[in-house]
Amino acid sequence: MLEPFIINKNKRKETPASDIHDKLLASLKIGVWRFNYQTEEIQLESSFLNIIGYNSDDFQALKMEDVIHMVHPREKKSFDFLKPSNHSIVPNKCSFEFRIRHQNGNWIWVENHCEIISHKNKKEPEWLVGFVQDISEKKSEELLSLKYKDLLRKTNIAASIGTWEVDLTNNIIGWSEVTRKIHEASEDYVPTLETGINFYKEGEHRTRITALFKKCVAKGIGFDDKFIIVTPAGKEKWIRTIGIAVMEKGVCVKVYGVFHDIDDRIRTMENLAITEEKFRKTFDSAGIGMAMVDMNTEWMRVNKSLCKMLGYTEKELLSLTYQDFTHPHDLEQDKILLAEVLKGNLDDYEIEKRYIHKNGSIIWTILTISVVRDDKGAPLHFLSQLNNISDRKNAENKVKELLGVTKDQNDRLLNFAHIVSHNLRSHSGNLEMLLELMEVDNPKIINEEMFPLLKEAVGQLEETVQNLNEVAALKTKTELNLTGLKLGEYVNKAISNINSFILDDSMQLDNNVDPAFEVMGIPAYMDSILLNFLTNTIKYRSLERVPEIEINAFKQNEYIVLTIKDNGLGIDLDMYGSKLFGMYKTFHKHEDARGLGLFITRNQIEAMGGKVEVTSEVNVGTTFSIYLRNESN
Amino acid sequence: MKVIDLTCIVDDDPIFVYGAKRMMELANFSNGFLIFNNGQDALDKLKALIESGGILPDLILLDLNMPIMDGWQFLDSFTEFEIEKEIIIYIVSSSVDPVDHERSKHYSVVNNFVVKPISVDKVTEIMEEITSSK
Repeated sequence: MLEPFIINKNKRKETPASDIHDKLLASLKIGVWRFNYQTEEIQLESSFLNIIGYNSDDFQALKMEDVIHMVHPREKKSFDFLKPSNHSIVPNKCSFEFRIRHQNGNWIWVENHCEIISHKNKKEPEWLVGFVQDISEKKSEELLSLKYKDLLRKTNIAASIGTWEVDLTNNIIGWSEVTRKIHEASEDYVPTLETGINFYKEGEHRTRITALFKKCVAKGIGFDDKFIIVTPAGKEKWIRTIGIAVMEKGVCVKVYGVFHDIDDRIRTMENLAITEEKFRKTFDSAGIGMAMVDMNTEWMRVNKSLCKMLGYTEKELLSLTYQDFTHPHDLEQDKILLAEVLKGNLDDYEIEKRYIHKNGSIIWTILTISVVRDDKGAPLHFLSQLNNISDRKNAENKVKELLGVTKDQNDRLLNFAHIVSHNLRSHSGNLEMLLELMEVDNPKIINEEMFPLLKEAVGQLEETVQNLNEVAALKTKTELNLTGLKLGEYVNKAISNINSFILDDSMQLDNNVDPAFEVMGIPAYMDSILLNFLTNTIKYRSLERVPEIEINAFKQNEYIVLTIKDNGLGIDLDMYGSKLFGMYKTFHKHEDARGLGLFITRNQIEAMGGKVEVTSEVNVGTTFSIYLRNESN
Repeated sequence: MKVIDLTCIVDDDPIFVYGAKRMMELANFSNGFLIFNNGQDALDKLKALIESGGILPDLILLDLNMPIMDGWQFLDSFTEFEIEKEIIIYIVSSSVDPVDHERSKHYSVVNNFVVKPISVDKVTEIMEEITSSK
């Protein structure tokens, strides 16, 4: 039995033998410690202290607790066997690993082997000796390896990468967890070479994997290819299989490899390809001009329509910059907007822009620029769309031109009307005045044959000038301020003006206008319109029957419709309908028929935003419907 | 007895002037007439009369459309004069433009607006109007 080395710190005296012993232990990085179960004395050799960074001068441990408190809390339990209450189950030998605090503050891993080397009374344990060895380095490698293994496993799951192997000697197939998952096989599924191969889609895919595997086994040539497999549920999946042969003495004993789910990637790529194809077709054959322009405003691609629009071949166009055929006046606005887009303030814009065709003509377009960005939002390129609106623009200009001409002519006409009416008025006024004087000076002149004719002619001239004035005075509703008018009041006023006729002829007049109705209008026009229609009913009354006039009003959409119905002579609308409201049209051989009345009336109604319609039957009667704008609208 | 002693006609149209004058004579309207062919002439002469203390007209018949100085310009200048005598002013114009009628109302010196042509009846009417306002 080995006698324990007892080092008394108080009277330390190194013997050459113990010196050698210490050096030996130090080189092996082994520390020795002892424990006495009976006295609970602890002895730490300097070799032990060295391991934890101390030396015998600065470390004193008298009890086991002094050491145990330096042990990592996780491993403190390992020292429970030293406790006296557990004597009965004290093992003779034990080994364990534990962490202990190094003098520098770090935890170090040590491996401990201890053994009871003496017993008191040959029964109870007395001295226990322990050897500890620093295994930190080994331990950290072990932990790292564990960590990597775990990392690889997790990565494989995340990346859907599985592994497989075929042991040809024992004909065993192994699938990793991920491989099984990709196959969508149950956890306890055990594949064979045949069932494994049968997962591959029948036809091209299965034939190809079979051939590649056979070649791998026969010649040791590995493979890496994409296939479609069909899961038990019938779902098709794109996978990538890599196979590597393990050769022993020229014979393939094992094939192992990687199994990768690339379904999403392939399908995304397929979709992308379809989308790209669609875009390309749209781009190339679009009826509008399209261009892809890089962030430096250089052409990337232009379509046929654009080339045609600008009159260049694709090659010519690509050799030019957009500034080369932008109309000089439109360059600035484009630059400003482009700068905003580049700054990120704008994502797209639409402007009217002129380009110069190869032949020098101006092409009007609506240009839409949008920025195409990658999935991270960084701008990739511009997409320009040019819509040729030259035809529209030219038409617009023509219309503008025509409008100008029309306005000009209209102005001149109005001017003409004013001058004619004013000057003619003076002259006809003078004629009338002179005739009157002639009559006063020479009363006999009335008997002259020509005098009454002259007077009539002057009277007619006067009336014509009067009408001309009214026409010239007509204004469009845009120039006028319409006000709300009580329709009932105006109708009553007009009726009172023709009251004498009503009394004379014992005419029957039926006024049913709701006094609450209000219309938009001009008072003077309203008076004139109503009087005109009412006097018409009297002028053109039938002498064969008692005249009856019926006035009604009702709401219809945005209008109030005033109807004036008579039982008079009626108008032959088939013959005169289109001329009814024209200038100088009379339809009755009636002495009072002036013809201008309806023309002016219609214009006044239209000036107030209304319209007029007529229904009539010869010798039965006429109904005029006057549409006036409802005030409440 | 005549209502008006001196009538001033400001009009560039000699036919109107002749006619108006004749009718007023027939109606026994006025003793004398002052005739001017445009606003400027009328203004100059009237101004001279005011300065020399001469006899001023009782009534002015004023045309609107005249060369050199039109009726409006005449009114603008005439209202600046300081005159003790009350002078009645009638605008006599062939204008039927409501704008002109409206504008005339802004001049307090303008008593009325008569639309040409003038007739014996109208002259009588004016006479009655003036008599009743006196």
